This record gives sequence, structure tokens and C-alpha cells, in this order.
Amino acid sequence: MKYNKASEIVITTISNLLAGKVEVKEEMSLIGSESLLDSMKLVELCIALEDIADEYDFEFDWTSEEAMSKSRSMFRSVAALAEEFKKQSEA
Amino acid sequence: MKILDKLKKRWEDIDHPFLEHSKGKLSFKEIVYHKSLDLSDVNSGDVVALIGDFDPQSILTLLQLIDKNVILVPLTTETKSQHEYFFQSAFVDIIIDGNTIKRIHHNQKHELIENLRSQKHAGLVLFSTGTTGRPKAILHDLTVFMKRFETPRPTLKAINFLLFDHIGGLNTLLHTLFNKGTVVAPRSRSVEDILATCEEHKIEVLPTTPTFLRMMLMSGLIPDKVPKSLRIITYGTERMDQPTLDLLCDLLPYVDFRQTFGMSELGIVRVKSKARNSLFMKIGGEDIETRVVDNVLEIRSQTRMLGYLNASSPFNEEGWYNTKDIVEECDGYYKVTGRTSDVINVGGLKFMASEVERVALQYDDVSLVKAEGKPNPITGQHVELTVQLAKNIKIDKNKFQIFLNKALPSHMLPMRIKFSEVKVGHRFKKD
Repeated sequence: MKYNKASEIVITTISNLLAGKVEVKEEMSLIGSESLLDSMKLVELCIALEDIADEYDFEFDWTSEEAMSKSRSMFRSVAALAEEFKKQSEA
Repeated sequence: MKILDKLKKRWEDIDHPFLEHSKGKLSFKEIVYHKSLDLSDVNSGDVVALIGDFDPQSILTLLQLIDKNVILVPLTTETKSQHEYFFQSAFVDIIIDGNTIKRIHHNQKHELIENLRSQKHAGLVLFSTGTTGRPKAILHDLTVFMKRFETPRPTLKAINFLLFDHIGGLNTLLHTLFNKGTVVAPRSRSVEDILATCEEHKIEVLPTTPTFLRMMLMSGLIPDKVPKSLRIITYGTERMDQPTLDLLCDLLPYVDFRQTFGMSELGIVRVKSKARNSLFMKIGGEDIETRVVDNVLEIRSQTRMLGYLNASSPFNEEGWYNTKDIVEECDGYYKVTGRTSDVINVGGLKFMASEVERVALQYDDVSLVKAEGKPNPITGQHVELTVQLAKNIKIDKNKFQIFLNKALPSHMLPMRIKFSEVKVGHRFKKD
């Protein structure tokens, strides 16, 4: 999967979760006080990405020990999550 | 007096069968006069695995073995793949399978078995059916267990699932034999067959599980196909929810609903429901004490097992057993709200899986549900829900989601909903 496609998927999914109320940009952070998503919405986002990955025939791992160790960097921004999604699609 | 002689005397002038099943009836005489196996090589204190069922030969051999003061390990062919493990865990000396009697030579000893042998008491080994870890070998003093049958008690005509390797099944068998009653085995465990058997045999007591009762509600066969003879429905082994019980009480106003509670480790526990529509129950009997520690029910029982043969003792120094059942207490009555393992913790907010299940079950055409806490790196855990719908029914997932959104706080909302079969074990418990 190309980065652009991964970014489009992540942005569309976040936008759906926020009911299209906010324009989602790549530099937006997903954790911390500036995040648009609360923790429950972030979980919902990851589960939605898990289901989308399934459609693309790969597993999006965000719950294993290995994934947990890099979760801080993975959720740093929309772009970082898209990059991780792309990376896992190629693994 | 030997048990077999006592029973012969009690059944002397009785003509009715003690067991009725789809292929016919079985009288006590047929058991007593069935050709006996040659048990001359079986000695008092031997650990004997009896692979059997509720047939004349197995029942006769079982009674003869108790009279010989052996340590009995009742098994069925259903668990064949685990037999080798069971033989080793229970230190089995002799295996009886059909007409074959085989001795296994080994030099292993276990302190609890040696104690029974020195007291010349019979023993009973049952295996736990826990979903975690390998089955545990539960050793009871069978001589003490048998004492409960000395006092005559009334019997009602009951359906029994006849589990030869289960404390409840053996208790029913012995209770019926000692009190000259009749048990009926259903053709199968389907709702249709069980209700048909109730009708055909004028059954008075039907033992069930909440899962079975939910399936019965969804079948559309009640109240029309529930015979008037049915006076008592018991339910146990898993948690019942109030909406299901309320609906059953409304549909079957002449049936008394009684909760049962127990575990092989504690022996047979007497239970009394506060009311037919109440999930609160009194757990008691003269030999039982109860207490609640950190919302968890603990029981101390005089008729408890002696111990596990392949695991450390689950009793604390004072003999209390932690049931791992979370309870609410009211005037000495307890209501089980979940298991300690069912606690889901989402971002520090704790709740029971059953609270989510109770809400989901209220949605039309939802038959069975299972809520689980799944780990994640953000909130620690989140809820995932498996939903089984009534046959040939499809529901709008969005509408179901909206229903849940209105009824549950956000941390309890399932993050994933799967529509598929909720697995139910052969004892009608959710796997």
C-alpha cells in the first residue's frame, strides 16, 4: 500500500468518527491535550483500521506487546499512524 | 449393611422403573440381576476408573465398587481423548471398560489417597471442566458423601442429563435409587425434544441452564408446549439475567423457578431462591458457612472435597473456598453478578461483562450474547460483543448500535460487534 492511500484511509476513518465536523489534517496529533479524539474514539479508530486492513488482506497490529511499545510514536500524529498502517501492509 | 443390599430391600415391592429413556425403561431389578463382572481382583483402596454410562452394567458395577471401598473415577467415552491424562492424574490402578478389567502397575502414591485407604473409606474422583488450564482431579470421601442418602427424602419425576462423570449426575442417580424415584433421560438436548419428553413422561422437575432457557424462549414453544405437569424449573451453572427470568415467570405463571449453585469442590450445596422471580438465593444447610470478602463469595463446607490430586489446595488455612463469584448481599441472600475474571476495566472504570450482556439481551431477536474485555494499549481494555440472533432473523446493525449507545455509558459500549454463533458447550454453558 502506498503512503497516500494509507493516509487517505486514516483521514477518512477519523473524519467518519468525528461525523465530518472537523477537517482532519496529517499533522494533527492523536494523543495529548491537542488531540481531536478521546481515548475511546482512538480505540474505535484502531478497531476500524483493523477491519479495513482485513479487507486489504493484512493484519493491523496495535495490541501486541511489540505494537504497544511503539504506540506513543504511532499515535503522535495522523501522518505517523498512516505511516505505520502503510508499513504493516507491506510486512 | 452393604449399599446394594440396602437398595434391594428398599426396592423389594416396587414395580415402577427408576430410569425411563427413549429406548425403554429400566427397573432396579434389571440392574441387580444383570450379569455381574468378575471383580475378585479389585481390592479395597484400589483407584478404579469406570468408563460407563447410565446402563445396567455400569450402575451395578458402580454400586459394587462403592461396597468394595474403592476410590472410584467415573468416566464416559465422551472424554476418551483425555483418559490417559485422567488415569495418570488420579493414580488409577484399575481400568474397567465394558467387560475388560485391566490393572495398571505403578509405584506412585498420594497422601490424600493413602489417608482414605487407612480409614477404609471409599473415594470419588471427579474432574473439573474449567476452561483455563488442564482439568483438576477432585477427590471426595465417598463414604461421607453417601451418608446424605441415609435420610429418606421425597422425589419428583425429573429429567436428568445423566452425566455419569459429574457430581450432579451421580447425586441424582443415588438420590433416585435411595428414594425409589424415577428419572427420565431425554432423547436429545434440543429444546423440542426436552419439552416433548416433559409432555410424554409427565415431568415435574426440569433442571436447566440460563442458556438453555434463553434458547427455549427464542424457540417460540413456550408457553404452549410446556406441559402442566411441570412444577419446577431449576437453573444454574452460569449467571441468569433478570429480564430473561421475568419473561419466563410471566409466560409460565404456574412454574416455580429455582436457582441452583454449586461446584464439585464443595460437594452438594443446598440453595433456596428468595422468590420465583428473584435472582437472590440463600446458600446453606447445616454444614455450610458463607461470607463475602471484597464482594467475592467464600464458602466453608464440611462436605467439601479432600483436595486436588494434581494441584495445590484451593482452601485457605481456615478452610474457606473462594468461589470467584462476585455477589450482592441482601438480608442473608446472595445474587451473583459476575465472576472475578469477568471484570472489564476500561481506562480505570470497572464493570462486569454481564452488565453489557444484560442490556444487549433486551434488544428484539437477540438470542445469546457474550461480552469480553480485550486488551489494548490505549484504555487497557475495551469491550467486544458477540451476538447470536434468533434463527433466520437479520437486524440493522446501526439501529442495534444506537440502542446500545442510549443504554450504556461510553466506556461500556462494545467497540466491535460480531454477529455469529455464541458457542454453547454440551452442558448448555457458554464456552
